[in-house]
Amino acid sequence: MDKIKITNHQLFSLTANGAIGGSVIVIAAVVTSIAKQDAWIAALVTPAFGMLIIWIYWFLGSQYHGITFVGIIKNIFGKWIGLIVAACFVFLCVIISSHLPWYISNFMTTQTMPETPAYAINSLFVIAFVIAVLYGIETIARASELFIYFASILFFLAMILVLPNAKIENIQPVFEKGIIPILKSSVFLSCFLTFPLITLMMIYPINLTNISEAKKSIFKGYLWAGFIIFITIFMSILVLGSTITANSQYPTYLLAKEINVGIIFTRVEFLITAVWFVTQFMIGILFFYAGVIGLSELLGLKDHKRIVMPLGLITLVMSGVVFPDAIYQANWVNLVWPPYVITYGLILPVLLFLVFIIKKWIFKMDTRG
Amino acid sequence: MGIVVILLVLVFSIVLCVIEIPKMLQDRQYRELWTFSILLGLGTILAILKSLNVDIPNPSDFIAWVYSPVEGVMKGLLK
Repeated sequence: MDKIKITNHQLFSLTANGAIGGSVIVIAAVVTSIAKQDAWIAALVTPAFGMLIIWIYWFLGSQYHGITFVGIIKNIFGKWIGLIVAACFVFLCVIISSHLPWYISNFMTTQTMPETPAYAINSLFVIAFVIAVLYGIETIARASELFIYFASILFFLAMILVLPNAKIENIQPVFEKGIIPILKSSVFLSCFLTFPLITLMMIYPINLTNISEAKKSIFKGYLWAGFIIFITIFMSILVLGSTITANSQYPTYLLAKEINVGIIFTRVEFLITAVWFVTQFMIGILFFYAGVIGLSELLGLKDHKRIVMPLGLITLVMSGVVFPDAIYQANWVNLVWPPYVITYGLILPVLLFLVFIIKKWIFKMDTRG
Repeated sequence: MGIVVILLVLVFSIVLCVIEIPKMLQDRQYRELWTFSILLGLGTILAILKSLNVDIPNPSDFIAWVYSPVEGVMKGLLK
C-alpha cells in the first residue's frame, strides 16, 4: 500500500469537510420535523455524544499504526469473521459513494437545470472522484485544506447576510415538548454528522505521521463541523421558522434565498450551494477512496489505482439506479440509512473496542501468569 | 440515444483495456488483472443494461430489506 503521509492540519480539514458535507443543506429538515423549534438544541447535544464516538475511532486508530480500518477489523476479529465484516464495510463505502452524486444531480435538476439529464451531472462528479483518487491521498488532503477555508468563509458570509431576516419569535417557546424529541432528532443528526466519519479510518492511522497530535485535529475538525451545522439549523429556524424548514427538501438553500440586502444584494443563494458542493464532493471522495482502498486490501492487490476506473464506471451507473425518485430517497434516508450507518459507525467500532480491551486484558493475564 | 451511450461505454472499456492490461501483464499483477476485468465487465454490462432501460436490481432495496426489522423503531423515532 502507499505510504503517503498527510499532515495533521490536513486531517483536520478532511474531518471537517466530511462531517459538513453529508449534512449542511439537507439535515435541518429532518431534525426540525422531529424537534420543531428546539432543533438547535439537538445540534448542541449531538457533538457532545459524538465526541465519545470520535474518541473511540481515535483510540482504535492509535493502537494500530500503519494499517487501515480493514486491517484493524481483520486484526481484532480474526481472519474469517474479519473478512466478512470488512467486506460488508467496503460494500457500504462503494454503495454510498454512488448515493452521493445523486443528491447533487437531484438538486441541480429540481432547482436550477431541469432540462439537463441527471447522468450528465453525475458523470462530472464521478469523473472528479476518479481523478482525485488516481492522484492519491495527498492531493485529496491538500484540496480539502483549500476547501475548508473556501467553505467556511462563504458559509459565514451567507449567514451574516441573512441575519437581518431573523425573527427571535421563531424559536419560542423553548423546550415546549421536553427533552425527548430533542434526543430523537439528535439520533438522526448523528447519522449524518458523526457516523459517516468512519470512512476517515481508512486514512487516519495509515497515512499519518504524527499519531499523538492526530487526536486534537480530529476533535477540532469534528467540533468545527458541529459548529457550522449548529449555525445552519439555528439560522434556518430563526429565519424560516420550524414549519417551512421541516417541509422543504433543501432548507439551507431556501434560507440563503432569503438574503436581500438593499436591492443590490439578492439571489446569492449559490453561496450556500457552492459550500455544499465542495463539502459533498469531499465526503464523496472519502467514501469512494475508502471503497477503493478497502476493496484492494480485501483482495490483496498491490496497486489500488488499477481498479479505480472500473469502480468509477460502476459507481456512475449505479448513481442513477440507487434512488428511482425523491420520495423513495426520502423514505430510504429516514428509515434505512440511520440503522445502516449506526451498524458500521457505532456498533462496529464499539464492538471492536470491547474485543480489543478483552484481548488486551487476557494478554496481560497471560504475560503475568 | 441508447446506441450512442452503448458505443461510448464500449469505446471507453476497450481503450481502458488497451492501455491498462499490458501494464499489468508487464508488472505480473495477475490479481489486479482479474479484479480489473471483473469490475470493468460488470460496469460495462450495467451501463449497457441501463441504457437499454432494463431494470437493474437496486442495492438500496437490498439494504432496506436487511434493515426492515427495525423499520418500526425508526418510524417511532420520526414522530
